[in-house]
Amino acid sequence: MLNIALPTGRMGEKAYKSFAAIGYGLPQMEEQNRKLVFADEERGIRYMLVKPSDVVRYVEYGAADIGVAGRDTILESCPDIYDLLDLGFGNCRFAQAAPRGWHDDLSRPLRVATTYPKVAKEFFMSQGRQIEIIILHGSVELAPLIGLADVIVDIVESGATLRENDMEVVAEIAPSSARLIANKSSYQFNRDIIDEIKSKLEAAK
Amino acid sequence: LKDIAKQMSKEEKLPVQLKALYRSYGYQYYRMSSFEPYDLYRENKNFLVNQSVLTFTDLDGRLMALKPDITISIAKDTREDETCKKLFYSEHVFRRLPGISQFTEIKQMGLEYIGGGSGYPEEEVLSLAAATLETISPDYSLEISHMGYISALLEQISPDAAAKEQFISALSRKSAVDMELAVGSISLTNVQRMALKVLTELPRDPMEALGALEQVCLDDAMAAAVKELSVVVEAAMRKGFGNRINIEPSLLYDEEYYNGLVFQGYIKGLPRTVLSGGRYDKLLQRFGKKQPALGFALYFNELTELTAAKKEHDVDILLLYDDASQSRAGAAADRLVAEGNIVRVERQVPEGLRAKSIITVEEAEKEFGGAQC
Repeated sequence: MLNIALPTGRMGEKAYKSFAAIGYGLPQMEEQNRKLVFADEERGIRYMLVKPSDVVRYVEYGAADIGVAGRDTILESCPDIYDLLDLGFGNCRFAQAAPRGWHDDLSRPLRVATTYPKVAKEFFMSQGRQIEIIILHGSVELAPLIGLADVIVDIVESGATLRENDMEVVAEIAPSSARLIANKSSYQFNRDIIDEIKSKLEAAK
Repeated sequence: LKDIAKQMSKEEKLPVQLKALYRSYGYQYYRMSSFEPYDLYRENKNFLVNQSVLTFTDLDGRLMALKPDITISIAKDTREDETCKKLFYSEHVFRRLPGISQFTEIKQMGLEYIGGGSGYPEEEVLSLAAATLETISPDYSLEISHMGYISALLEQISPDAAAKEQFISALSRKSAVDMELAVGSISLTNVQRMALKVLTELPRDPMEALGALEQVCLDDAMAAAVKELSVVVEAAMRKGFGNRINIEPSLLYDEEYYNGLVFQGYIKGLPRTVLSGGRYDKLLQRFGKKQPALGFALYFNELTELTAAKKEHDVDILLLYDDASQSRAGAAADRLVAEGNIVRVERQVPEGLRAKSIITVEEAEKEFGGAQC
């Protein structure tokens, strides 16, 4: 049985379409329902739908052999996994953003609101800037607007959310995209099938 | 002895089997104290898998540590004039495991071949690593690589410290895209570009993989590393575990300590590596010693899924007594044990105990043919 962890949401839908296009579709996945696990015992495939930031953990701990995860979640949680292929969708980037016209006050630590504390910490450390991190799990853009933080570090796709909140990108940190990831041990024992999936997905990109 | 072996769990049996294996190849059992001065680890922090060390103050005021690692102690305790020693150990180390905020005591077994250079010593140590994994499960796999290859390659493309760190992290994930991102600002020759590309695209067959690496060697050091790996792979083929070997350049240890052959073992069904080892001449050099050294360690904490007894019953027979039969319970139990059963004697059925059968002392006596015990 090959266990595949896909993220819920838009990236997961795209990921499933890619898998279906190379012959790994499961009709039950296409029905509208609230199930989280879909298995085809005969073909030996099982999909599990999990929170996007959890895909790396499912794969790292071997609950899934392979999965689709954003590079953003890989950089933030540093799982011990293989990142075998850039799938070519889910493109976005980590960026530092601030209210339009913001000026950095170097006389005090910068207050940074983010869902990605590790990425933020490393970025500002490389700049030699002292920071205070405020971890938020959503609506990060709100923080500078109400004075909770000076800037944010977040994922930016089109930048529309930032514009709507009168904010702008002040520094690019790292690009991200959807990746095909694999458990290191599973890869040893299922290398043929995982390599086949990888090359088919690559060819279909 | 057979009866004893029958009752032992896989977890209990494994250390006994491995000790016998290491002894039969002339390795000597080495026992150590559980503590070392903390300074030893402060000075060699990067050698530790995880840099946390559990410390305490000794009676004389010195800061001590509960060992997070065994190899450092063996390297430190090796005398300069000890040109060759073969040791194995079975110890507990104290580490912080990922996802756990407390220190964990981990059982670790391993062996060290001080004075082991290239050639036969590498064949022996890798064969013993393979035999160790085989003892655990016939479904195992050994990833091997050579630190000299990657070190030389990095020297050729000479990234700055930040790019190098990014590159190593990307390579350890086998991420071709991220490797390109890491060295994006460096102008590379076509051959250098090929050498990087090959790292994530090696064929499954170890000899073919080595052939692919050989084609993109940029200098003598890389060629020498491939040659050394070929010797090891050929030996593995001769000894019948060549099909277990994967050449895996993404296997990276700290180059401050490791310089040659490195390897990691996996067991099917277990998500993380269970065994790791390699050549650590540089660790000895840090202690001012010139001997080459090889070794590996097996982490028992990674095996629990496999070794945990998956029995349906805790005991074969739960023997129940009451006031009247209390004085005869011991004799009945002895007789049932002598028949090869695992017997638990209780007045009442203990909560949660899974027994294959539950009988009273009277019933047991009846089964013995009515004879009063």
